[in-house]
Amino acid sequence: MSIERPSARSLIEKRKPLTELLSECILTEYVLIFIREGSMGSSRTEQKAATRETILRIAERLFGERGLFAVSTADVARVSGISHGALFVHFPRREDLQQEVISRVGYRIAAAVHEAAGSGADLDGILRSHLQAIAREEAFYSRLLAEGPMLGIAARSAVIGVQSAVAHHLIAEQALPVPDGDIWFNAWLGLVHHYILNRDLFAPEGSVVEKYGERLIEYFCGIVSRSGGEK
Amino acid sequence: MKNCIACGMPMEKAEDFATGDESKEYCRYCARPDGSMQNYPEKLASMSGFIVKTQGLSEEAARLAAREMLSRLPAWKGIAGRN
Repeated sequence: MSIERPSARSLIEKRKPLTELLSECILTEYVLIFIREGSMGSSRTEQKAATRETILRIAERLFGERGLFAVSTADVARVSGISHGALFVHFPRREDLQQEVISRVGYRIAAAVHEAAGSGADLDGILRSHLQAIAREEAFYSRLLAEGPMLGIAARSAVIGVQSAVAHHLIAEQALPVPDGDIWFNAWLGLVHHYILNRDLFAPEGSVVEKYGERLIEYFCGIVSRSGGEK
Repeated sequence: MKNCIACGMPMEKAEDFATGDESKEYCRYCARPDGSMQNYPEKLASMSGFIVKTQGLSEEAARLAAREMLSRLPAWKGIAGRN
């Protein structure tokens, strides 16, 4: 009867301590892999990417819970279970971390709108995809709205970039009346953002987007339609 | 899925790519009429103009934001920020 033994590679990937590798009597194989892959370069890169991913996930949650300025890089490091120095390697300043988290959240929102527009959605459908994507990030998004004007240029630009992508599908693809496209887009944002910024008053029990989203879409599409736009 | 190296737009369908050619690294909005990729000053101007047109920001704010956004894209690493 043979006992199944874990391979050296799986142990290396799980970052088992060397003593455990030795106890498995597979040091030779370990050394061979080490030599072949050059100081475990690939797994180290993977490890670095995994740490970065953890930092960003934790930062996004903490920013959403407490605000973008109430959370320090030291807080993020502590909750991520890494040293402040290790976090510094990835994000030297809090603004770098804010900027990256905004870009990631914004990318998800822009991608949802892009996908809806790509599958032929009309104004109603594009607005719905926008709101559904915001609803998935509502805590963070409301903090971003409240604190946006205080952000540095890099983080602020990331916000403008997201809005550009959303506006592209609403204006450039002519779902909104083209003259005054900027005013139409800002009217939509203003409406949605007012509810999100005051979500504690409109929907203290849960998601304000879920509670009011359909009414906002219906109302906005109604004004567009009465002004001679789509629908 | 690829992202345009010059503006970051996701490119899924052939028509998203410059000249409809899926082997291209940039999108139809970053292509010149002849299909070649816009250079940095052209892209900075078109992106700033787009921000002004769609969001109504002042030209100066739009240009600052566009410059910052471009500096993070592969096509403009090391170029953006000097203009």
